[in-house]
Amino acid sequence: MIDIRRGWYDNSALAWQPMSGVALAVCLAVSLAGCPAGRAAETAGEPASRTGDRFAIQAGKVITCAGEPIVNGVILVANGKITAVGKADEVDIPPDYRILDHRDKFAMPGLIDAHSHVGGSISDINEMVYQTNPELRVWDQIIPNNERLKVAVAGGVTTVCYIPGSGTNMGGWGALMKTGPGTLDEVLIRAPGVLKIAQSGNPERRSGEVGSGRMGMNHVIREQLREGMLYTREWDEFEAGRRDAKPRTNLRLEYFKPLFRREIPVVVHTQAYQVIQSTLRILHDEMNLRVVIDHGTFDSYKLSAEIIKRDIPVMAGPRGFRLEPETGQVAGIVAEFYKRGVEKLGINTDAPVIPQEELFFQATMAVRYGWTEERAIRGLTIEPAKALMIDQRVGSLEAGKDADIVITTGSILDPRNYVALVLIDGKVAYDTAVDRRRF
Amino acid sequence: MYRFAIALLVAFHFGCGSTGAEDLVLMAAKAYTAHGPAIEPAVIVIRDGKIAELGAKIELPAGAHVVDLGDAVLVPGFVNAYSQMGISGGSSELTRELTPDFEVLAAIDWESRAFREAVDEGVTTVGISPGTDNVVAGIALAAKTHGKELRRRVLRPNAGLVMTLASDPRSRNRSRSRPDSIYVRQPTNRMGVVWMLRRAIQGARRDESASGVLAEALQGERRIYCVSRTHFDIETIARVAEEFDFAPVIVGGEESHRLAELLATRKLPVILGPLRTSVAAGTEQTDPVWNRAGVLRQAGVQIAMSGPSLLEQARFAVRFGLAADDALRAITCVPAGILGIDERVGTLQAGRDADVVVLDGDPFEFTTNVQAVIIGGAFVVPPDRRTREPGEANQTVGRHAAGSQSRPAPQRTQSGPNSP
Repeated sequence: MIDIRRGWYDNSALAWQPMSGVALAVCLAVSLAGCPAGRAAETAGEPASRTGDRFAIQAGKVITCAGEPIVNGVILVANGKITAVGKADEVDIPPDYRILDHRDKFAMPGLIDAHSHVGGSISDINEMVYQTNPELRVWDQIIPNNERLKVAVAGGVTTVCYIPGSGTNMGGWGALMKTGPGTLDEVLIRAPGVLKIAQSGNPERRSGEVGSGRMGMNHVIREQLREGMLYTREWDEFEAGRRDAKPRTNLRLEYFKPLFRREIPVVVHTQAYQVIQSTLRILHDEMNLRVVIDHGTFDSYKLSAEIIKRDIPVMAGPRGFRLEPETGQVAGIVAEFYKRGVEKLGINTDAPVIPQEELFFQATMAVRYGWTEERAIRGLTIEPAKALMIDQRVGSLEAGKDADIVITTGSILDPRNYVALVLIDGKVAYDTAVDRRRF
Repeated sequence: MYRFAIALLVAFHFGCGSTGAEDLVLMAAKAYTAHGPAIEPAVIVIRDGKIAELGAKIELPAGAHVVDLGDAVLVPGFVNAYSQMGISGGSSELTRELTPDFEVLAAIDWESRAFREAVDEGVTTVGISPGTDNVVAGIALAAKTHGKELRRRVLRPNAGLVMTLASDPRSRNRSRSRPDSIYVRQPTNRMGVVWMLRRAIQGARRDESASGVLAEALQGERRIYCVSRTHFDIETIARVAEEFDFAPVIVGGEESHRLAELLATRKLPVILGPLRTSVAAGTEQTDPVWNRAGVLRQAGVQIAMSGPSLLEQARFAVRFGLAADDALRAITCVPAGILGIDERVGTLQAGRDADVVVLDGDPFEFTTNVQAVIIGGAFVVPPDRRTREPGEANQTVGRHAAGSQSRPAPQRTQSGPNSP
């Protein structure tokens, strides 16, 4: 068996080796000695919920997803934001900062799921009377930190893209949100966050309307997008002063404006070679949208070259494998994209299809089939952040970003490790010392 | 013993024998007016169905009927702000979601037993709304729970427009499973409910010359009520109200305590639905807390209570943290204000309708019973014997009785809902 702790995310470089009493004592001694006088370090087990707004996290390894991992790193947090990340001997911890000592653990950015249905009321995600529903939005039914999200947090997931289901060709507008507790305003990152389009399978109509197959569905999608595009164009013309009459506000089409202005992406339920072709051709080439390929399963990876040419990110899953009929071998979907050069690559759970907390395990299994550990960690964090256009807020540990920080007992890709502490916006959302180990 | 006293007072009343415009005087140990400080002892002079005068010491009008209620405590008749009381033949329209011009007035069986039960519990005024299966359901009314003459009984045929932002309107609808059914239509879920409401409001708002019930309501000419129970539905209606600039009364509000600050800031009153205390979760799987009324009031939210056993609900709220005077207000003057009928009912003060509940002790003691109920100056519980024929019960005084039809005697307990 390959020990995935070797290599890039190997924690053998840590001064502290797992479960050695002597080493632990040495480590604690060092940590205490290293503290400025008059300020005691909190032990790793002490609940961080008592920390104030400004604190420093010491970690054995800081995986920033913005460069090489830092062995013996420090992260400074003030008012919910990261203010500095660096090596322990290079970052000065201001005297009024409290210290969270996790030098026996890893720190990494909070995980991001690009495709989730558990941000709120699950029974309300598919409104399927009409084929296209650009008037619908999910953020009216968000339930912050609901029971599913609580477990998700224990799996290290701090941000999800909560989207309508794939029951129709255009399910409505999704929201990007944090998984931790708070008011709606506090947990929302962006609404409308994304448009959800579904191109095959689930939305097929059998009610006598057009759309019983792929040709019909693509026709419907194109017509609806065209209506939105023309609406946006009218407003663009008016706002640029090239048109005198103010267009009439159409609530049904209003959110197409940020979409066609390329301020938010469209997340597309699309899978299999033929369907991905339509996605590229209609949504990217013809409509000039910011496209995110979600799912991308079956033989979609055979279109990698076309995907790369268009610079489109792929958030693959939840189905991670494909039996190659020619060879009788199982191929890992993500690994196949990777081998063909797709770099903007992440994974999703489609929760609750796969439980939200098992996001990391989607990456683990992708690594099993040939994805690299570094890419897999990025695919859990910064790649979905970029694809969803929220990387200015989340996805890496860098100064200026939200303090969404996950402390693990080692590389999160190793199922033997677990999440010990999760901070969202600098606040403790999960702490094994208080909550016990939930997952 | 108290029953005996009641029997005496009724006998006394009967013994006076005359009818017409003479004054009725109630004397009791105490009156909580829901308007000012308690009056002790309490004397209320009732003339032509209205309170003419009240105070601790009043010169009694000549020839008045004086009813000495002894140790009794008087409170205003209770006002149930939201109900489907007496609706007969369906409280919802099945074929469409938006029915703003539907009037609940047309659907009420005024002889319904529900009204008599309400009277027995001291409820003298009730708000009646269409059901919750429509996104915009129609027009509510406010009425007395007792009275023969409809013209007098209905206080306000238009007490406001009722909407629902919850999962109820989707309950019958389906998407593709039954393509030949009238129920294949939006909304099949909350996203659809929110959209239909926003679209309806925008449609009414867009055209400034728009007439119609919804447009009038949005212009502030009618009160808007919105049934929402979960915290996210309540937050959503607050957001939609902000988007379109109106101020709804939240109805149900099972998780409204979680948004107390928001509701206080936005000055959105809440008509609380009955708190279910025998189950783990409320309607729509809400997570109830027993002091939600207290939490809301403490934050400065205006609250009214609704549903059955109003006095019991108020007692429960007091037990778990609501101040007693706030609890009394929540079942009297606050709902009256919300329904827009506070010039008529909800307080004991001169000029208001003589709707009085006679209690045999403090209102929020669990052992206290409703002893008598007076509506429009007439004893309704127990019925006034001057106008009572053998085998007939629960009739009002004088002129109302003349045209009355006979009906089965109501099931009543003279000592109210708490009798052992």
